[in-house]
Amino acid sequence: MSRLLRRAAALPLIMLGVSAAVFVAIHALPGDPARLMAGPQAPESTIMELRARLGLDQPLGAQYLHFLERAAHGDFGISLRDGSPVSTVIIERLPYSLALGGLAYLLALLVGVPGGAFAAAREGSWGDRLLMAATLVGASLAGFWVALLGMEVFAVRLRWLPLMGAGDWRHYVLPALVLSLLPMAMIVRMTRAGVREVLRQDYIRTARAKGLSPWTTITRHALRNALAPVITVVALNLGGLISGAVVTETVFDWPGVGRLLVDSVRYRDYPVIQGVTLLSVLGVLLANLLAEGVIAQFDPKARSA
Amino acid sequence: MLRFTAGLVCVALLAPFAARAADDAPLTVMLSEPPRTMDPADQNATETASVLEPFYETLLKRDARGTIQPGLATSWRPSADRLVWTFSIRPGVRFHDGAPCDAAAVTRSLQRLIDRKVALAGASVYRAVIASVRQDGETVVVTLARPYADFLSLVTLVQSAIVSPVAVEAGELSRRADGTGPFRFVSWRAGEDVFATRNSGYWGVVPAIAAIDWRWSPEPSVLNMALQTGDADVVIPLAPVFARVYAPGQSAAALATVKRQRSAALFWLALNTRLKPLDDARVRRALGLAIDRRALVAGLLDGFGAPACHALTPDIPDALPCGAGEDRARIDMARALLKEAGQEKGFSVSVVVQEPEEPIAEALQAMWRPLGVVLSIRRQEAGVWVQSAFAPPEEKAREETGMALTSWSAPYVSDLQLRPLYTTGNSAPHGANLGFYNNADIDRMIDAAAQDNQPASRHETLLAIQSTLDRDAPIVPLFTRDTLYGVRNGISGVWAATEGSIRVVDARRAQAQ
Repeated sequence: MSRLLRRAAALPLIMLGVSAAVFVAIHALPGDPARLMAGPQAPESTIMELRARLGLDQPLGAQYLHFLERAAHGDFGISLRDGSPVSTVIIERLPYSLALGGLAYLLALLVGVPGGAFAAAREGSWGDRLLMAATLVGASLAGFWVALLGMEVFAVRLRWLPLMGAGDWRHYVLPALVLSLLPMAMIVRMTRAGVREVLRQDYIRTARAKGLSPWTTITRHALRNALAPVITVVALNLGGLISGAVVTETVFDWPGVGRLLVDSVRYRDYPVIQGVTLLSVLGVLLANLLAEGVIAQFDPKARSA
Repeated sequence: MLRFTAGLVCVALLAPFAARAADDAPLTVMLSEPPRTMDPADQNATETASVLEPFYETLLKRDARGTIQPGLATSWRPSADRLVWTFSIRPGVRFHDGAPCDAAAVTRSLQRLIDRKVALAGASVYRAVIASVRQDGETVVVTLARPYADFLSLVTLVQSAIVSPVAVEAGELSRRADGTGPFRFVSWRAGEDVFATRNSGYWGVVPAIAAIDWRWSPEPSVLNMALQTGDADVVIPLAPVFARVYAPGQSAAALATVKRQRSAALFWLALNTRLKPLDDARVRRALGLAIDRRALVAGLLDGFGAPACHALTPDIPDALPCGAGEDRARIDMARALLKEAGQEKGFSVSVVVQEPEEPIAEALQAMWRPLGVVLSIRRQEAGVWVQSAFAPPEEKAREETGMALTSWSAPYVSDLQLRPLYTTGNSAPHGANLGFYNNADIDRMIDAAAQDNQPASRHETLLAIQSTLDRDAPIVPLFTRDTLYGVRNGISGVWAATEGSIRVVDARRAQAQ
């Protein structure tokens, strides 16, 4: 616990370093937001005036200090595009990304863990081979392509599901399925590998010898010890949910943070890019801490480390 | 952890979403990108103009035929020297916030437009042309810095739309549209939609449709699917490749109709006139001669466009059309010119293009191969492209950037099609003269044409400009691309303007819908 607290205490310092790195990296991106706003026909005088209005004519160091000063008060600046506070823009979008990502990971876990355990228990069977082939396909398919295919089949031809946008539960089905494919495949494979390893241990042989059914052996003994790496990976990915699923959100017209990030990069909306990136980094760091805490509950060795 | 994830999901699933009664269904219009702002003067994007047009009005407006009609001004008159224009403001008009749109409000709106301290992104041309704006009783008096033959066209553009002084004062205009138009702004749900309802107190004809819901997707196939499923009533632009899906006899023809509008969106190639061998006008002309523009239109646009052979687009009455055979490749003439310039063995050159325009560069690559010209394509993301294309001469020389492929639309105003691209003062990075073309005669003629109010002499000047540019070839015009848009069957009154924006305020649904 004390180690977790020490790590948590270091977060502000890490965030400060990250903010400086992100600030420099974003401003090093080629492309001028003022030119992108004014369009190609605008003369340089207009560009210079716009740069002054947006505060981009200040030296980079001064801009960073100004950013830090405001950030310390919880103000991450205003969007260069429409003048909205960055925090408001992100907060409006965040629930959509968290909901979609959360549902996708829930699906991935609900299918992936039992699927992986089944494949390990029936190693070498047709079921195992079929599942492994399916995960290979699932991990290899481009999300963009699967999304368009799903839209064409289920929204355009069959009319079972809405095409895009956020709305009632039906709007979640296609994007969540598409987004869950890759983590689902990953979880199936990791769970299979973990359970397969554990099933070779002596204590499992003992459990079987005592007359426990294969299913009970797997659920009570093997899974508990095989899941640590799965939990680590899932927890780390949960941090990434904050920055949204760029491709899925864009194709499905989903109003999440991923799409916000794409639009902000396109128009070089520096404050919004900075806000989303920092929030995403914070999410990953917190997820890291969460993962450590959860693994410690599963693995006594991790607790004592 | 599972509980945590499930909790997140439940919270989002239970979040309330606005439900709208089916009988009051809004007209859903899908664009390829979101609006950039709700402030008409602070943008230069066609898609944003589409969204803003129902909210705002200008002093004058263009109808579907492109003819100038009264807008918020009922009449207008110029002084003898055409430097002072007096506009009579329509009485009884109010902004959506209830404030009167009188001469005082119009004056403030136009003064804001030309105020350098406000620094609005779409205001540069107005600041160059308008010297001052003042109120005189119920009229607004605009004094020009110099005569400008196309001034009336400028006050039809959405950038000059009259905005509410109340919204300006509150600093809300970028997020909340507030004009006098036939639709009132309701909401802009970031990343989702812009919603507008009918302005029942509108001074003109009150719209038939109750509301407009603007949505967007950057993916062309999604726009097409949205039109088929009915998620969108109108989509713009519709990629040419999807137009055939709605052709008579096809199954989708029962769902929607594809419409086509001739457009002023000119695609062109800026040539770096300071980089060898492009510093030789004969070489530049040879490159233009080797291009089969008709094939470009047929192959890349499925025929939905027109070859462009000269500087002005067809919406300008003085524009030169393509002459006989000019839109076809004339390889022998191109070879002869290259030989004359000592480049008969060909040369290598690079072009910077944005991702969507890469196929055009690939076609040019193939068309120039017979001349021995090797074109290397540098595909770039939009922001990176802007940096490369607007780089100063030294940087372009260092990076050996020979060409920049781009497009834009500035219909009806010849000065806006010529000045930014060809005048010396607009050489990059100061403006869009991306190839650093420098010709004092052209500078003088462009000034003369802009100020000349006599149609006959202006026509002569514009012809001379086009001929000179044909000879010097600082750019290679390629084609104009038509605006294609899809409208669900049963909906009428939707049209696209020449600059490519969509107009839906007069839309109505058939009874059967």
